[in-house]
Amino acid sequence: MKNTLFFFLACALLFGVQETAAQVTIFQVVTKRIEKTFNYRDGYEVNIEGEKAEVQVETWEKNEIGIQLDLISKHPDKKIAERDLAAIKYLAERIKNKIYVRNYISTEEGAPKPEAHLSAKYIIKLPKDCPVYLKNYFGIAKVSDLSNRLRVNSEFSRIGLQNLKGIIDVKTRFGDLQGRHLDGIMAINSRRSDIVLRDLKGKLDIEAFYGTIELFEFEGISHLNILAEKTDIFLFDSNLQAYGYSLTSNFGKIDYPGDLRFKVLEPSENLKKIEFKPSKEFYPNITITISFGDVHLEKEKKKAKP
Amino acid sequence: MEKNKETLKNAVGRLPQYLPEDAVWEGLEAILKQEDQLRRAIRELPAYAPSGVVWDSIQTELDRKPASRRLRMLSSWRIPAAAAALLLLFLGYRFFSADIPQTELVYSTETVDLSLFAYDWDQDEPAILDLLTFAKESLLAKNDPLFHSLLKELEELDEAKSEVKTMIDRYGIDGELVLKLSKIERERTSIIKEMAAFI
Repeated sequence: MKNTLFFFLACALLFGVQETAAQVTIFQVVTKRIEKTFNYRDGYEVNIEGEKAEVQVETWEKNEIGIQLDLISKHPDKKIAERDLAAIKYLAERIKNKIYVRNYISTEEGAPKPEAHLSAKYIIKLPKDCPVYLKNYFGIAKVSDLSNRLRVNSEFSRIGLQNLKGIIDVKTRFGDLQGRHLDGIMAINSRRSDIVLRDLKGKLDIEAFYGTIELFEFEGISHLNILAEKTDIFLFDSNLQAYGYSLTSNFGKIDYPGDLRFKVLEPSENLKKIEFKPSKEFYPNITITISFGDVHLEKEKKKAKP
Repeated sequence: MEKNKETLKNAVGRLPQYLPEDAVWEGLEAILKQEDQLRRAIRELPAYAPSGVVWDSIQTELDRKPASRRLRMLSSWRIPAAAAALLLLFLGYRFFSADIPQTELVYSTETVDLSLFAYDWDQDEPAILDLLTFAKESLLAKNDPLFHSLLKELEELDEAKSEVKTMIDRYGIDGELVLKLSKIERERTSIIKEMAAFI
């Protein structure tokens, strides 16, 4: 009896494994790697336009711009993967003082529509003072260590910014933005995107529609201005009383720790206006105007910086 | 005549001595053998004495008037010009070769569970369409600005959904695209639920 039970259990397990194994497909991956280097001069700008691409921008000590672009084609049939790789086109060229890097899909007239899964991956290395303009449509963008000017225009993409200085201008639609160690003049325009920023210095202006904004540790900020609609805002800092506040909320709540002695100017149910000025002469100002969303201020214990 | 011949002799005698390996001698012997063969071959080459006409012709050529100054100058510029042309060619090669990208093909495999990527996002569209038709006809909805605002939001999300679907069509489906579509669908669902309240 015991043996029969064991036999049935073993069979069930085996069929179960087969059932699971049948779902998995082995894809043949063909990657075309392109490497190109441009000499860098003051005044040059790198202009990246990625589509379904993972873009990584980092810095190096060389006075050159190094581009490594992987065009990737995946399909269970190796021949189809190889054939469809030709459908992803790229461009990497210098026109006057701009270095353009771009990928896109284009098929010859009469050629079959690509069946393979296609994507692109960039690793771009450049001097830290090289200005960058990055446009990404579907994909991921990671930028680190730049110190001059960065402009990002992204749709349906995840953006990661780290250790940046200078002018930072980000526009995002249906994407998410994460940033850490940012210092400079920053402007963010987001639509249906979630924003998480940590360790901020300088000046920050955010305009947001439909999403969430989370800011952690902004001790070095000199000015913070948020204009938001249908967005929830969360501010976490260890020294909240060091800032001056001007908060306005239409159809939303404003939560703050009890020891912050805020002056309530407009206590009506739909419209709330709150102000606070620290006792010292100079302080950073935080201005938030929001409708159909909540503002939440919370003291965060200071953590050791990594 | 060397004055300190004895001192020099002693000093030379004290210098360290080395004996080369056999392979060195064998190598030298092989080289000498080759040179010997070459000398023998040269000796065996046939010799010809030119006729007097050849010598006369050379003499006439030497007696001829020397080339004009301009031609001589050209000749003196020939070598630097050739060098400059070679340099230009080299620099041109360096310049244009820097512009040619390096490419290589790499092959690998990966496993994907395709059952996760079932095309199920349009299953509820007929029901949503019916609901919208009813809601738009409702008097309550027609006069409510909130309904119009929801309708606008839905249009924006419909457009976004259509963009993601286009990308799936062009680049093939993957986890990132399905995640985006799921997020949009959840937002659409919440708006449609709000709109349903107007019926």
